[in-house]
Order: sequence, then C-alpha cells, then structure tokens
Amino acid sequence: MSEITNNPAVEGHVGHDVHESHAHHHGHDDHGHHHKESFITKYIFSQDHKMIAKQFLITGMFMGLVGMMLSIFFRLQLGWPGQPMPILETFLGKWAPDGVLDPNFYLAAVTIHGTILVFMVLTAGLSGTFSNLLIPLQLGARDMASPFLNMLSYWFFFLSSLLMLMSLFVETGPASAGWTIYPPLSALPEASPGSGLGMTLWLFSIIAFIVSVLMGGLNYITTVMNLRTKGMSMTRMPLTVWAFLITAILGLLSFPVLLGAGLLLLFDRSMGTSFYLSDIYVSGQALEQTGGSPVLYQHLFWFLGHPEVYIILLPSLGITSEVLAVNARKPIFGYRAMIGSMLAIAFLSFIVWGHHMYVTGMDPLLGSVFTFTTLLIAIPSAIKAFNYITTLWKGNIVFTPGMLFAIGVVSLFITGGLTGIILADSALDVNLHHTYFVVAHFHIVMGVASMFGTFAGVYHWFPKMFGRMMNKKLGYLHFWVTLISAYGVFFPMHYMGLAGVPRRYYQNFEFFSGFSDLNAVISVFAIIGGLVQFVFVFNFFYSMFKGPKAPKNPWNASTLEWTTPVEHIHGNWPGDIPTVHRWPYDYSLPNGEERDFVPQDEPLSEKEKVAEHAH
Amino acid sequence: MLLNLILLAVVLLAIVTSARLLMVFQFAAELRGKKAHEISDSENNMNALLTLVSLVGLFSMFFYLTATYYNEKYIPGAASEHGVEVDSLLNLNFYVITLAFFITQILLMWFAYKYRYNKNRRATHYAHNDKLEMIWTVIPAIVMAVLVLKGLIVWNHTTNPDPDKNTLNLELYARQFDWTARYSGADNNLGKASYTMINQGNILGLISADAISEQLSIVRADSLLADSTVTNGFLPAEKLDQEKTRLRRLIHQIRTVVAFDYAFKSGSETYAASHDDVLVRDTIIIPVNRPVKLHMRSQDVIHSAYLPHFRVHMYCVPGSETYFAFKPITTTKEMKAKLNDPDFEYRLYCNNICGATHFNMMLPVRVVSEKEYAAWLASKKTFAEETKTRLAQLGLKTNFVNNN
Repeated sequence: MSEITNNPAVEGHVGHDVHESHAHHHGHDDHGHHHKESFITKYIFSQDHKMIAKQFLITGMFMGLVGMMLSIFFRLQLGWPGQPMPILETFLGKWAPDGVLDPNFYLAAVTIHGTILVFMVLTAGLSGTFSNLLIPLQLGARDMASPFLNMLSYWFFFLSSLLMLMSLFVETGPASAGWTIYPPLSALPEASPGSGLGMTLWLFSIIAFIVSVLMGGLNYITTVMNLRTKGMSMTRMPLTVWAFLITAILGLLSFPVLLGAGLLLLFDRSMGTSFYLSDIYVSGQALEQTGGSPVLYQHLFWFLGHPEVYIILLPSLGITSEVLAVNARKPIFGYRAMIGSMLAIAFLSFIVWGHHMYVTGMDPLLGSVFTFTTLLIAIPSAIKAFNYITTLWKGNIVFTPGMLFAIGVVSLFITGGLTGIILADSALDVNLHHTYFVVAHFHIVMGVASMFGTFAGVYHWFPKMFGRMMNKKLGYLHFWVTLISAYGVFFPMHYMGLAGVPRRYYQNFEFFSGFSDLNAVISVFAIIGGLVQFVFVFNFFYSMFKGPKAPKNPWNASTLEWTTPVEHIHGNWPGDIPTVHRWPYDYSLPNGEERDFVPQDEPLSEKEKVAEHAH
Repeated sequence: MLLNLILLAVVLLAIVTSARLLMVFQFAAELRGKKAHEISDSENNMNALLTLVSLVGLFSMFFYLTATYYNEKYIPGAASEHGVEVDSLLNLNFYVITLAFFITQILLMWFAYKYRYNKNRRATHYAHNDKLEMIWTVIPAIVMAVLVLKGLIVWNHTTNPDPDKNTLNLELYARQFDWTARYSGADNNLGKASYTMINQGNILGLISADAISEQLSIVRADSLLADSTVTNGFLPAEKLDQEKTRLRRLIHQIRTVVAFDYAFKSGSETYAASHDDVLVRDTIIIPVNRPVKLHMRSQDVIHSAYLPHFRVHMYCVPGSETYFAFKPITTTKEMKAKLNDPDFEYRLYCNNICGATHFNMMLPVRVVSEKEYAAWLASKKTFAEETKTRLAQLGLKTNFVNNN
C-alpha cells in the first residue's frame, strides 16, 4: 500500500475519524516490519480483536469439555444408578468411592455443568468469540472501540473460569445448589457442604464473569454505533452484527442485576444480613435472621436469567442467518422482519422472568400477566423460523459442515421452542415445573441449538480465524452423530417430564414406572454425543496447524470480513478500509453474471443505479 | 494405575495416528486437484439425502415414544378436579404444537433436500414478501390468543376455586429431608407456629401453653450451657466463635419464646388452635371429593411440594406460607383398579433441589372415603397429647386439660 491514504475527510464519519486515523496509524506500523510484537503481546496480552476472539474460543472450548465431562459423569449415575463405574473413581477420586458417585457431588456436577455451559461456554465462548471476531471485520473497522478494555474483558473471563475450576478442588466440594443457586440452600453451609467455600468461589467467579461481560458489551455496542465504515448504515449490517449488538444490550441491562443478587447473597452468607433469609432453623439452631425473602432472590436472578436465554440464543440465530444465506446462495428472507423480531424478542425477554416462578407462591394475577407476555414471544419466534425455512426455498444449497449445523439450529429452535408454548402457560407449568420436560425444553432450544450455532460459526469462520480449512469429512461425522445424539438424549426426556419425573434426582426413578430403561438409553446417547466432540476438538487443533491453506473467500460470501487478507494483520486491511455500497445479501442476483454473489464493497453497476433511482 | 497409563498411551497413539492418516488423505486430495473448501456433488447429495433420513428418523422417534410412553400407564389421568381441566388444556396445546412441529420440520428438511446444489441452476433472489410475512405473523398471533385465553381460564379455576365451607385445612411441612403433614383437627384450624419454638419433639414449632413451657426449659438449659462454655473459654478460637454465635442465637430465641409466654399469660393469646392438630409423618390420608387447602411451610431451605397425580405443585418457602387448593376425585383403590397395579400409591415428592438426599424426600398419599378418613384421624394422637407426654418426661406440669 501507499502511505497513509485513509484521509478522515474522505471517510466522512465524525467520531469515526479520530479513532480511525489513530488505529490506522497503528495498523500500518504493526503489519510492517518495523514494529515487532513479542510473544506476550501477540498471543497472551493481545489487544487485537481477532486474537482475543481466538482466546475466548479456546478457553470456551476447554470449559465446554469440562462441563461435558461432568454431564457424562452424572449421566452414568442416572443411567445405571448405584452401579460401580471405575472410570468415575479415576476422575473424581473421593467423590466417587468405589466408582459410585457421591450424592453431594452429583448435585455439584449438575450445578457446575449448568454454570459452565450457560456462562462460560454459551455466553463467553459464543458471544466473546464471534462478537470479537466479526463486529470489526464485518463493519469495516480496524479494531474494537477500546482494544484495551477488550483485552481486560478476556482476562476477567479467564479469571472467572479459573475460579470456577478451582472450586472443583475444594475439600467440601464445589457449589451444589443448582446453577440457579437459590438461597437459603446456597446461603447456609449447614444445609449443604457445597455452600461453603465452593459457593464463595462460585460467587467470585460469577462476579468476575459479569465484569467481563460488561466490558465486552460496552465495547461491542460502542463499536457498532461508531466504527462502521463509510456506507455501512445500520440496515446494511449483516444479521450477525445485529444479533451481537442486541445481545450486548441485553447483557448490559441484565447482568448488573445478577451482580446485585450475588452481592446480597454474599452479605447474607458472611455479614449476617437477611435479604433472603427468614425464620430458618438449621442444624439444631434457630437463626436470628428474619424478614428476608428467598423469593426476592429468584426475582433478581431471573431478571437476568431470562434475558440470558436470549443472550445465549441470539448470537447463534445471527450466525445461522448468515451461514444459511451464504450457503443457500440466497438473501436471507425478510431481513427487516428478522431485525424486528430480534428486537421484539429482546424487549419481551425483560418482562417474562416470572414464568420461572409460577409455583413460588407468587400472586396468581402476576402469573397471568407473565403467561400473556411469555406467549407473545412465540410470534417473533415463529416469524424467524418461517423466514429461515423460506431462505432455503429455491436456494442452491451447499452442504458445508457449517451449513449443516445452521440447518440443525433451525430444526432444534423449532422443536425446543414449541414446548416453550406449554411451559409458558402457568396452568400447565404447575405440573411440569422442575421436571425433565423443562430439562428437555431448554436443552434443545437454548443449549443444543446455541451449541450448534457455535459450531456453525466455528466451521464457517475457521478459515478467517486460522487461514486454514477444517476437514469436511470429520465435520460431517461430527454433525450427524451430534444431531442424532442430541435428539436421542433430549427428546425422550419430554415423556419422562410428562410422567412427573423431577429433575436433579440422584436415583429413585422406579417410582415412575419403567423409566429406568429409557434413562439408560439416554445415557448411551449422551456418551456417544460426548465422545464425538473429541473428533471436533481433534479436527480443530489438527486443522489449525496442518489443515489445507484457505483461500481469501472460501465460501464466496459477500460480507466484508472476506475482503481482508488471509494472513492476519493488526488493523485488518492493509490499505484503505473498504467502503460499502450495498446490503450484505446480494446473492444470485438476476444480473446475467456467472458469479452468484456481489461483495458489499463493490459499487453499484449502472443498471442497479438506475433501479435505485426508480425506487 | 498401570491400566490408566496404558489407556493414556493408547489414546495418545490414536491421536497421532489419526493426524498422520489425515495428512495422507489431505495430500492425496491435493494431488487429485481437489480443493478443501469446495463441496463435491457426491458430498452434497449424501448430506441432502441424510437430511431426509433424519426427518424420517425424527418422526419415527416421535411416534415410537408417543405410542409407548404417552398413555395411562406412564401418565395416569389427573386425580383432581382442576387436573382434568389441565389435562384437556395440555392435549389442546399438544395438538397445536405437534401440527406446527410436523409442518415446519417437513418444510425445512424437504427444502434442504430438494434445493441441494446443482451447478446448472441459480438460486432465486427472493428477499422478502410482505404478504407472506404478514400471514405467518397473524396466524401464530391468533393461535396464541386462543391458547392464552384458554390457559388463563384454567389458571383462574386452579388458583381461585369456589369457596367451600367444607374445605380441609392441611399443612405440608418440609425440612431436610422429610415431610410432616399436619391436620387441623376438629376445629379445622391450624394452630400458630414459630421457628423459634422448634425442638426435637416439636419439629413444626407449634405454639401452645405446654409447648412454651417445654421450649423455655430446653432453651434456657441450652443457653446456660453455652454461656458457661464460652466464659470458661477452653476452646480453640474457631470453636469459640461457633459457640458464641450459638449463644447469641439462643438468646434471640429465648426472647421470642418469652414473648409467646407473655402473650399467653396476659390472656391476649390462648394458642388453643394447635391442641387438636394431628401430626403425621408416614402416610398422608385425605378424603375423596372434599376440597383440600394445602398450607405449605419449610424449616430450612426451599422445598417444593409436588403431587403429580393431582397436578399440584407449590414451593415451601422458609419465612412465609404458600397455599394450593385442590379436590381429589379418585380414591387410591379406584386408581389401583384403573391402572391394574395393586402397588399403586399417590406420592408427594420434593421437587426443588434441597441438598444431598433431595431425591429421597417423598411420602405416600392415600385418597380414601370420608368414613375411612374420619376413623383413621380419630385413631391419631393430637399435638396436645403428644406434648403432654413429653412434658411429663421433663418433669414439668401441664396446662392442658383433655376435654374428651
């Protein structure tokens, strides 16, 4: 490239300019040969959004494996209650004497599995990776608004993961009150050994996590608002970026409430306050605390907890929109309706938290209100599902592994979303609350669907992240086995729930006639599903070092990230940042060209200009 | 240990071998001029076909599981009045979502198969259609409106049953890890209780004149003991702190119990309602066709009273009382005959995680005729009688005179 050509006056974005020329200045220096980066600044304390994305991804993957292993451990107990499994003793030592899982550790495994998957994997691992990677690349920015804050965001996440892992090694065991840690169980070490040091570490871990989410979210929002390249209006942003933006706003508005809830719990645990405690008699003593309400905690928790579901799901849906459009070689159907439904879902997610609390003794009138608001969510969700399906209609579908996972997301989103209609209904939720029906519902719609979205993203943007291709064949194997085992694990659980089998039971399934066999089948699927994830991990690390070199735009996609060179440079584009002339979904235009996509930075043709004027 | 090492070695070897194999395949593909990012026709066709296979698989699983598990054997029809309404609402919902499930999954998988890549075809650039989008906004909206309305009607019936003077007041008291049922006795009125009144004999912390004498004697003795332990101070620092906390708690406890005592002696409270209450810890017996109002309390953490056959579920929250009213309509005997299962019992489960043996916190519930119920209840000792016995053991005088 020539010398600095990025003239702020030409760029024409006020507010963009100062940062842009500054970042560009750096970018220019960095990719040159003068300014050498040390190993530490490049790989560890990196401020480059692409490296931070990879850090989030790999940490998230590691945590995901830990969470998955925990689930396999408790599935072994549930499938074959009380039978000695030597492998449990190998991994867990004193928590599985003679290979039989200790009931306290069973609850701890359930708790930490949920916490890790919800927060460390599907919040940080998903948003942290793809918001970081794609927001600047797809908007034509050289980096995040604050690369330093971005780096801190990762390191707080790292600290949070570390604290959570540490809690697994505490003598009294990790937190074991369920991932929702309802007090008083979580407040009283007398009531459960896991509520001792394990719970303290859990709370500190989550506090660090919230700090990380807030720093990340502020950055994402600021970047989207201020650092879009010339021509990148809000309605020309890819749906991925829209999803990340809305997710970040949700997180910013809801996570602080969890921080409040956690702090009050810490006070109750250590300072004798009674925010959540009242009239408790435990281990032979009547506590002094009176006047608090454990239900208050649940209100605070679910005020985060429900938006959190969409914090997990929306990025995945955004990724799905992008991957479906690229590989169906069609524009996403109903772009504006997709944005509108995401905004509607996000708004509604703040006024539905009470549907987790129909049977807490909450006023039945409130229950009616929450039933109404919750069922409203079905409408934007239906729009999204139908728009995805229509995107495939008359497409020319290329089955990349990413595309398969994206189609999987739509299938799971529908299957899991539909049972939400039942659980949203207070009258029906009474009998299904805390049963396996709920476990099936949320695992399919937010757990597995979001996990599939993450996989779709990894397969699709792996060439962008590492400049190499992942192995397709292993990708197909990974997809099909995961799909089968995901449905195999969670679909039968609906029926157990309908028969009233409570979740978080360690054994005693014989009271619900004949689900012991089904439980074993579920466990077999879980183990197969777990094992095949190692194929993915292998493929990931193998391809990172030895995979075939990727071309610049392997999927013929039209978004800006594919205009950057394969080799990463700090600042993303070696020359000027591209100018955007069109929306991101100009696939298969009927323009008589052989090429079936037009990149966003390509100026309008004469014909298109005429058409534009005609509008 | 040796076995583990061998296992580890095998795993490592497998990883290295797979990596080597993959490199060979990759090299071979490159030689044949295949590009890693291009999906071949055979790969496309295979995956397209597999989407159809998975559709068939998904529906087969649905039909198999529904046929096997969605029936009376596994999910017996509701045994309560509101439960029948709940069940029919559930069925309506299932028709709707099953239909939606079939339509959308078929369209999704069929389109994926039908429009698989063909190099001679170009996708149709079809970005939006307002009319179509309006249709799939309005239809779900109408369906949801119907479901919400129906749901709210059932919810109202469930939470606001018609008042009935005959309603039986029954308390379910939860603690780690068992249940106690308290019957309100002849006056159908549950006596007052306080957590500071709890001791080994009076686990629900019921208040009566006798219970107050008993508790004062116990707590005073405990606090004297704790006080002497603390003042003598031959304890390690941590134990001493624990003992101090205990003493503080005991003093707080004495204050409240003395207040109850004062209220009784000054005549402002009689605490008589608890006298005829009956405590049961093995089996809950309730009469058929008579409304039962459950009053729920908890001693320590949140528990949840779950009676799936009656479609009843409510948290037991320490520090407050929760309620659920229902009317059992099928006796245990009838249910045994209906399910052809002589061992059948209704059950009360704890359904909110409450600690190590949460899974074991359950109690059989038996629905019997009014006559059987009355005879059974009459055979039980009342709270006042039980307290009197314990008081005698402590060598204390009773205030209670049995009218019978």
